[in-house]
Amino acid sequence: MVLDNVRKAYGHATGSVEALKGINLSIERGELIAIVGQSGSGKSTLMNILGMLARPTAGRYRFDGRDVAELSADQRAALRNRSIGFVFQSFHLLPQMVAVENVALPLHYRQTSEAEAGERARRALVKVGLEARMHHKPGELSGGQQQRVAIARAIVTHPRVLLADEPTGALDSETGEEILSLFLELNRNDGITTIMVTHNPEVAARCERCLVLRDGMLLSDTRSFDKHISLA
Amino acid sequence: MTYWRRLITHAVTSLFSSPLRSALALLGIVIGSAAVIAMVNIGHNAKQAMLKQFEGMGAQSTTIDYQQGAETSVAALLDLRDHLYRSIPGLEIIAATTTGNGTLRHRGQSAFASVVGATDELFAILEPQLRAGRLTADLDGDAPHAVLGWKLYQDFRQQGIYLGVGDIVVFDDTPVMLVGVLEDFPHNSFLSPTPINNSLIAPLESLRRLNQDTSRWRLTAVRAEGVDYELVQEQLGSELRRRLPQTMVRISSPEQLIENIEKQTRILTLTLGAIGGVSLLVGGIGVMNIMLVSVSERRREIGLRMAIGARVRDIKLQFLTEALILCLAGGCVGLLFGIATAFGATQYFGHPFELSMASVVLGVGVSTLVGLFFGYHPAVAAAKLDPVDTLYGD
Ligand SMILES: Nc1ncnc2c1ncn2[C@@H]1O[C@H](COP(=O)(O)OP(=O)(O)OP(=O)(O)O)[C@@H](O)[C@H]1O
Ligand SMILES: [Mg+2]
Repeated sequence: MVLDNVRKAYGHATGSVEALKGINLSIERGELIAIVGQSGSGKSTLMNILGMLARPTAGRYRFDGRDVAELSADQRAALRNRSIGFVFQSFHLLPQMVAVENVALPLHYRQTSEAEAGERARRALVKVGLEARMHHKPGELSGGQQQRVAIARAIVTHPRVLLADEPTGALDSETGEEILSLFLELNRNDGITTIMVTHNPEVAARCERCLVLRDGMLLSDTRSFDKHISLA
Repeated sequence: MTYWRRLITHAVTSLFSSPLRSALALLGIVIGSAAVIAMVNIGHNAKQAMLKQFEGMGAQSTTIDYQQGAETSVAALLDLRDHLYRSIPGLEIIAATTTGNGTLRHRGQSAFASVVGATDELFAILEPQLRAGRLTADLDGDAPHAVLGWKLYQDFRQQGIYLGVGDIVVFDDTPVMLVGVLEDFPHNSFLSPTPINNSLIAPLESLRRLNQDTSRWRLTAVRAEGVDYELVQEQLGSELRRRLPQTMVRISSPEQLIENIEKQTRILTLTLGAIGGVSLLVGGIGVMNIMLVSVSERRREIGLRMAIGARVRDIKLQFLTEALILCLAGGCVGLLFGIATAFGATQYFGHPFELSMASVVLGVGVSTLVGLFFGYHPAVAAAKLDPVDTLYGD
């Protein structure tokens, strides 16, 4: 994923606010990245652009070598479905469906047979350690369990990229720790590129690479590899 | 296939997850659809009932009624009849009649009776069965001979008087000789001017001797097979205008009556159907309203679905499917209620019930259209949402 001088402006009645002011960024396959920064610094905006939910006002975004601006809305939807998994702070599970149905939802948009979708959803739930809660509705699950369901939904399509916007923001620290471990595990074992927005410096410290945003600009881009060098 | 099945199961799940709201939306459609089905069926059955009364009665017949001053003679009527035979080849049989009423007396008993003065053709048209004796004939001339109707015969028999051939009865002070007695004959208002069972039938020329007012004449014509009644009526109209310029002539055919009934019941059916249609329209607006509420309440779901790969048409289809299922379900429940209502109405009016298939097709079809029409706007509104706004808004 390559961002080339990406800008994003939001129009307001009083004028426009520039949430991103020229971001240059290149992300390799399999990286584990933390994005930190103050509230309003543009973290979520960046995530939305990376996830193709929003389009840059200026600049270029290439996903897997393809210029996203040249893709049709349907092509972007298909790419999201195949290559990207989203995890949100507030889970966004559908309350009327049980866990396994929530997890299988992305497969609905790619013509997977009922049996196969069910099987894959089950496997994804096993992976996040929720095999015992498959037929519970979100309302019957704890916050941590709901976020596990959301993660299972994000990985059920075997995406290459996982985008998590403050995935532990709504959880207590212990549960947050469990969820974090889950992300690290998925990154390590399945090689899923993982990009995570967080306010927690400890969390950031456990990622290989850390992007710091301030006022819509990339303040720093450090790798743990660099850290080791600077420590030495 | 999987896609459509899941689309439907998701829609049903969503609808069931807010049962009260769905039920309210359904209610409007149920009422509308029930109204359409009930109204159209009631109209249909009313028409069937009316038509049944005329079914098979005097098909192919055309009746000509007119009234002339008392000085006109039977000869003039017969002359007119012969003229019509010659000028309108589509007419096969023309019976000339005139009718009257009076009291029939015999041996101290009496009964109210009609009398028909008729030419032989009336018998050719009616083909009544004789119980005894013979029919009267043109050859009887103005002789006071008559055939007795079945009901009159029964009335006297109940008084212990067995009327028979050769008996001289008194009709309005004039003695009349019975030459025959008829079997039971079902009344047919198109073919016979009076109920035959309650009548004496006498030779046309004899009615003056029975002191009857012979100013009202009727010709009953039977058309040849395949001859259109409208054509015959037109020809009769122009002939009669020429022959009887100063006279009001009424020409009628059962087909015309049936057509009038059909026209009237069609208006009835359309009016009733339109009332139902308006209810359905109101129901459709209810569905649209509730779907719009549903869309705004499920903004997060819509954004989420977009994030995980739903295309614009997937979102549109999802909400269109929900609206369609609501309307179809409402339409089907309404169908049952509508049929039940129409059935109840026909029972109340004592008609047999016959289901109008057109109403079923109409009811279900219109419900579907209502669903598509009123579901479209909310579906487009849903598909227009920006996923970022919906996912990060509170
Ligand atoms: N939909 C929007 N319409 C208008 N302005 C927006 C919109 N979304 C974000 N902004 C503005 O863009 C800027 C960056 O917002 P963004 O949500 O990316 O920040 P953030 O770093 O994610 O903050 P937080 O840590 O609070 O989530 C803010 O000034 C915000 O007000
Ligand atoms: Mg944010």
